[in-house]
Amino acid sequence: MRNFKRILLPVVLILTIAAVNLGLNYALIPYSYVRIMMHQIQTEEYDTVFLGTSHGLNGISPKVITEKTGKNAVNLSLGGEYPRDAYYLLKQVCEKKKPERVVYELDPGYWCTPEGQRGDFNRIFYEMPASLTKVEYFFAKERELDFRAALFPWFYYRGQFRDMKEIIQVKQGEDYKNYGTAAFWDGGQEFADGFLRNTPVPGMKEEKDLVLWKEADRNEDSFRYFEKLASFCKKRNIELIVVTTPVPAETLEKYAKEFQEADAFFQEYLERLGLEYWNYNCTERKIADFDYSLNAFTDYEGHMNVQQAEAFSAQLAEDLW
Amino acid sequence: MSLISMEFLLFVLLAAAGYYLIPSKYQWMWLLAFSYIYYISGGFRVTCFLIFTTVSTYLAGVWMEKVPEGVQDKKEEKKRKKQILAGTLVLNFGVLGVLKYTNFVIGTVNSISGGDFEPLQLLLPLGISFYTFQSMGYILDIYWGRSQAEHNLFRFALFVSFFPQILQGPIGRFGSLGKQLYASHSFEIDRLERGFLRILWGYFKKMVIADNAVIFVNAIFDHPDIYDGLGLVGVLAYSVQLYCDFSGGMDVVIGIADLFGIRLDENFKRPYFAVSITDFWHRWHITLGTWMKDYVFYPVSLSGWMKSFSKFAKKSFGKQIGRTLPICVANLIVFLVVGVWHGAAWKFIVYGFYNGLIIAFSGLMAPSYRKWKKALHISDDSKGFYLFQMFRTFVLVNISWYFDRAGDVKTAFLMMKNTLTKFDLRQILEPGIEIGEASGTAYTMIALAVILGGCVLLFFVSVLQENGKDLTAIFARQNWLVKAVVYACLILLLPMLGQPSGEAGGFIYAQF
Amino acid sequence: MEKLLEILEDIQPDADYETCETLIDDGILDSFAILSIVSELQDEFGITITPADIIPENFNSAKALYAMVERLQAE
Repeated sequence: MRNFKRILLPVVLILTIAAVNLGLNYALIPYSYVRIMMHQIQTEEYDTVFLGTSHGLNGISPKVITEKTGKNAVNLSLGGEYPRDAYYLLKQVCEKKKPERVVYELDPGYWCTPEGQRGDFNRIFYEMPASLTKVEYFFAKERELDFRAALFPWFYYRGQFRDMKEIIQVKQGEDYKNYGTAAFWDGGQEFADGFLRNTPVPGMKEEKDLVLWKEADRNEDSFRYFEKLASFCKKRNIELIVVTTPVPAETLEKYAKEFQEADAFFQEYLERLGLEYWNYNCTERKIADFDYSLNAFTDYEGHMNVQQAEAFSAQLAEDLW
Repeated sequence: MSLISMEFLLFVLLAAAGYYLIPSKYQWMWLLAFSYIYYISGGFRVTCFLIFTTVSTYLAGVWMEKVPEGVQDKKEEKKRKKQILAGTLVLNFGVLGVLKYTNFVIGTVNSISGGDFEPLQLLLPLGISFYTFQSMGYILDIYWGRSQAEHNLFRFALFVSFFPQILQGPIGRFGSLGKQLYASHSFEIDRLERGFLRILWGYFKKMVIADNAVIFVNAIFDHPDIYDGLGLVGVLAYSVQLYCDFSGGMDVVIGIADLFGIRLDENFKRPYFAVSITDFWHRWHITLGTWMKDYVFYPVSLSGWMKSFSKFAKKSFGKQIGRTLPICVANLIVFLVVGVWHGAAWKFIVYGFYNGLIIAFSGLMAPSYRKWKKALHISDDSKGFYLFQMFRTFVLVNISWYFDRAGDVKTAFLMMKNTLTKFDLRQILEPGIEIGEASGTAYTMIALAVILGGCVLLFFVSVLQENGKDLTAIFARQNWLVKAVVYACLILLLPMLGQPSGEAGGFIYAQF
Repeated sequence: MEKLLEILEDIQPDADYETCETLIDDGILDSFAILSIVSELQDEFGITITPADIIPENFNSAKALYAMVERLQAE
């Protein structure tokens, strides 16, 4: 009897916490397009996979690419996706089918800043289907985080308690069940055609201080995992191409020195790895008929609006072809 | 490996599970292995410094014990021992001093001479202050004949590197800690539960109370010009943050050691209930205080030149003052060391000096106080006087926190002035105090309520403990359902009400 | 012994030195008082007290203190 009670305590404790966790995950974590991406790579087979950051998510239309190249493409770029995350995303894709080609969208900022600890940095892990890759990803990333991030996925979303009703409503709707995108329209942005479409907002954009590139602050993990990604591709005969998306001319001018340094550094670095690097801010890769003015972009950092994104994707498709 | 990281939890789990599965005579080796894994995970190169201190102190201890064999008389023996001691102290404190204070010296030289010497890029080994102090305490104990030298290098290495405590103390004594580390410990569920509860309580203090308070502290102390009306809130929040961060970290460390059957020394005893600054230092960072008392205060006070000073003082100022004055001087020296220990900056020197000065002053005034109290018919036992003393000490301590936290001495004085002249609580709802991911003030009131609620709970617990109630024992007697509820609440409140613990995810005292 | 009690009374009145055996353990003597006592003992009895002697066992009672003084005088 005594022994039974001794076991009862931890068992009841773990079950209670698991139940609360389940409930709060459901009520606090809003629906995200990461869930759609994970659904896509589990159910469909892709030839071309885009990995990268928010610039890629806003700037690359997999629909345009698929139409122009005839190869089925998926865009898995996300804000907060570091090379480490990209590596495990690719591994997850390969559990279904090995793609022919991977395009990594490179933002030098992700190579010289520490990986933050916020909800969206954790989202890929949370939405990833149970798999061996997920276990590996856990040991590669989650273990370094605050234990609350790993054990209580709702931790970073606890501030959402005011929107709980709405979140639950969305999750109970048909759209959610069918992996629909209706929930993501917010007036200026929607998730459709497999990427984030920004409605053009003409006019001046506020200047901001940007972290572009500082070699002294290298994030060694980013380099390490990118190299893992590169050798992963090489071993499996997957073509790997690295691109940097266009940014506004004004930003390019103000941060000319950093951009040049970054370009020179990564040209040299990627060449050493035997990879092609297409930087669409360099003169030789400037896209014809593309509006490089700040007014056309969504913001100073250079997130593209939907028209720019489609024009850029068309060019990218042509270059890839 | 930060104390709040997932990998640390897994690490402790693995260490504890294996500890009770292997034959008990290997338990200490198991702890040594895990302690070194822990240390090396923080950087391979800095481990050299740890090994240096371990080996040099070990050799000195063994050597010192062998001295009587090779010498003729007591005098010679003493001299030889003294040489070994001096060498060990100079070497180890030298390393600590160079690594921690070189850049402070360079900065000071630059600002005085207008020079432009480049600061050096120095490695700072984890927990260097703590393990250096612990090891030097060991060698001094051997020198004074208070303990025996350890003859097994690996056992000694465990004493220096025991992983729960190496990062932020408590500073252990070889006499009590060594025995426990090398003994075998059998599996005891009650002890594990006690440790588990202690760990949760520590995380609660750190994540829920301290990490909410730090938002206000940082906003107010880093922008004293914007929040000039909130000095009082800032300093109170800082006293909450500092106590909950440091003592919460200690609870985690002591709880983890409990899992291995090892009782570390307590580092905190409800410091804000202290009735004097002396009393405060008997309750705050206790192991540093007793270390300073045994290894700095007494030796300095009893040194030859202090004796001469005492004679001179007695002749010049009369017996009573002459007797107390040298003690006051020794005390000031101790607190300067404590101040410098807190960090290489002038504000910490002021902080130490301030504490030392108050204690020296009350030491000198003690006989007069006794007379006054008699004349005014104030009894030490009266509740009113007791509360008055507590309040007075709390105010004095808070003044010292200004120096501890403010950017520099000048800012500290400015903030103190503003606290008295510009008090304006409305500023707390001005935007800028950002809670978590949400900017603006949407969560300010919630964070304040959490801090307040946490402090009420903490106060309640502290009062019970202060009245001699052993809460862990009371908890252990509850039935499993009550326990499950308490555990579940403590666990779930960490993510629910706690704040992310900064980019570094660290405890304040883990940088020493 | 009488001389010793006199010193103790002078430094820290209101304690029962004849019977109390926990002067240190109960915090009746703080470090200031201990050092004041040491200073007086050194002057009065012409002994040298070293840090090694400052342990609770030597200071917990007047009796223990007296024993320490006698031992140090013999050395």
